[in-house]
Amino acid sequence: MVSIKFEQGTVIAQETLTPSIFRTTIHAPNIAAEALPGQFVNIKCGAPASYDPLLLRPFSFNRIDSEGGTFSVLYRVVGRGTELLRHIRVGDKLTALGPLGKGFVLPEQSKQMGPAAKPSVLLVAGGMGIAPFYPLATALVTHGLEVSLLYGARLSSDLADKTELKALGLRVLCCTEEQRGECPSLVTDLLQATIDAGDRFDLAYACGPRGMLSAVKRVCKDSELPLQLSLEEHMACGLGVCLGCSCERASDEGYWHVCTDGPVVWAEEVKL
Amino acid sequence: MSEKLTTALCGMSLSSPVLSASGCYGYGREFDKFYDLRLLGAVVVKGITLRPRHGNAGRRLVETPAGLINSIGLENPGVEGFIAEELPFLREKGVPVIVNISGNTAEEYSELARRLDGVPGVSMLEVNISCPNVKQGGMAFGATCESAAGVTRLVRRHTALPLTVKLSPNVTDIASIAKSVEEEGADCISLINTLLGMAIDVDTKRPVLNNTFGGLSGPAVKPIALRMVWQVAGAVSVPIIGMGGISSWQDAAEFILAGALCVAVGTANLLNPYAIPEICIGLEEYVTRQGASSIRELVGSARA
Repeated sequence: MVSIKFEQGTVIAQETLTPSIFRTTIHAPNIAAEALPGQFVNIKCGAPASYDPLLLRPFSFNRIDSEGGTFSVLYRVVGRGTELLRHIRVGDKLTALGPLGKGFVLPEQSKQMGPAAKPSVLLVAGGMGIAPFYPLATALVTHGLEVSLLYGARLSSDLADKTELKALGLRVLCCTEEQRGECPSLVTDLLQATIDAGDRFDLAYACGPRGMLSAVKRVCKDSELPLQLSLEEHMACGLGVCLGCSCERASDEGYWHVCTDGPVVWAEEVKL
Repeated sequence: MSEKLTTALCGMSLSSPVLSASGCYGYGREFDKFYDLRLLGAVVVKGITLRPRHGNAGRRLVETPAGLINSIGLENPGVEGFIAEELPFLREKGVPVIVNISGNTAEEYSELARRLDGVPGVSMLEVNISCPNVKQGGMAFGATCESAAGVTRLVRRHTALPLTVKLSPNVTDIASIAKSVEEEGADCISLINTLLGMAIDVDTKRPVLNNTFGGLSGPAVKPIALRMVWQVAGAVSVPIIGMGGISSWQDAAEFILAGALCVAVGTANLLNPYAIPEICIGLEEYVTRQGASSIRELVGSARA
């Protein structure tokens, strides 16, 4: 059983990837040692004893270096927490809780995938939904799988991590709303076009806004492609205590809790 | 653990005056991974209803300056699920358990009391007449002296367990409600539950929460909670479990000085899994610095 650590780490790098997207790297060896692709970490973005903001902020792991004892988070500045986080100085301390939640199920662990000899895996990212895919892609490539990424964003300058993912050996197809008219502008249209073109996959993973996930789920269901979703929800404790991050169950009544039942779930388990 | 924090509440010996506040501690499992639950005087569990509840639809949390509005809606496994699946764990941990109970009707409260009476591992009941997030019952019972007294009377008749009644702050005169539940046999008073609050999404121009209102907790509510504990401590002679935004040992000490025998930590657990142990350590050092031999000597000291 993985143990969750509440650890004081040190910020070791602050990167500005695009005018609005940032990556913060933290040395927190106890958290990094057990972090898995698709899991997340809750970070206290404000000063140590400050109530501004009150809650820790959840981020999926964007880089995991277990041996080096570091992890990174990738984010767009959307509010108070991310604004403070991007301004923390290298060398400053920061408290984090993790690793949290259930990560991606890899193909050899996945029972839902067909018995293909060399499985082909599809990643679908919308906007900041790219964040958890680098560690996942690394694991998939290490297992010798063929990996394709469909990646949509509003602006081409928002396509963070694209180069690094290509460098892992992924086939990467991007679309942005800027290119409207030239090719599909939404990643869900790109997904449909890719499948219509005859590409076949054994397993898909998607992360992005709720509306996009819902559309990806529909397309994957139609083509009987097993799909895992990485969900996002307003969250407080990250531990399954407060029950604030609910997500409707698809089958019986009631709710999953994104922090402990997710953030990664099989698409058919949830109502979106 | 030191003798300095030990206390006695309604016939129970507690290792510490620091308890968990209902709804911010689950059934203890998550925190057991961080520290020994016996540090707590008692675990006050997430609110239990007669039948299981799924909780509220839609978004359940809104962060505010130094506060948190929740609309969880008493998601819980029901009393039978609690007894079968959650209670054995806490019993095995050897920590006193206070079961927070909520009903849609007065009869449901008495049925819950009857069911939990004599169940091994249950030390006390906390009658929740102050949940703001359920459509019927809940806070409605805590709104007037008559309804608060009525529920207390019924529950009292159906259990030999000590009873604490958890009061709503969303009332005009909390001291008179405290007096009326004391008169009906409450052995203790818990206060406060969350304050009614709301948030509006300026883009959709609609309330953020499906139920429009939710319960505000966290450091933002502490001054109000402390004032109410002060008022109730001046009005009743039964012990008080004080809560509302307690996040540090200083906060806890303020409630004790205002007259609370015990304190409960809620929202702070969601921000720092070690909130309770840190508060216990701070309180113990405070007792020493005050030249007191026990935290009990400090209860109500600010009132002198």
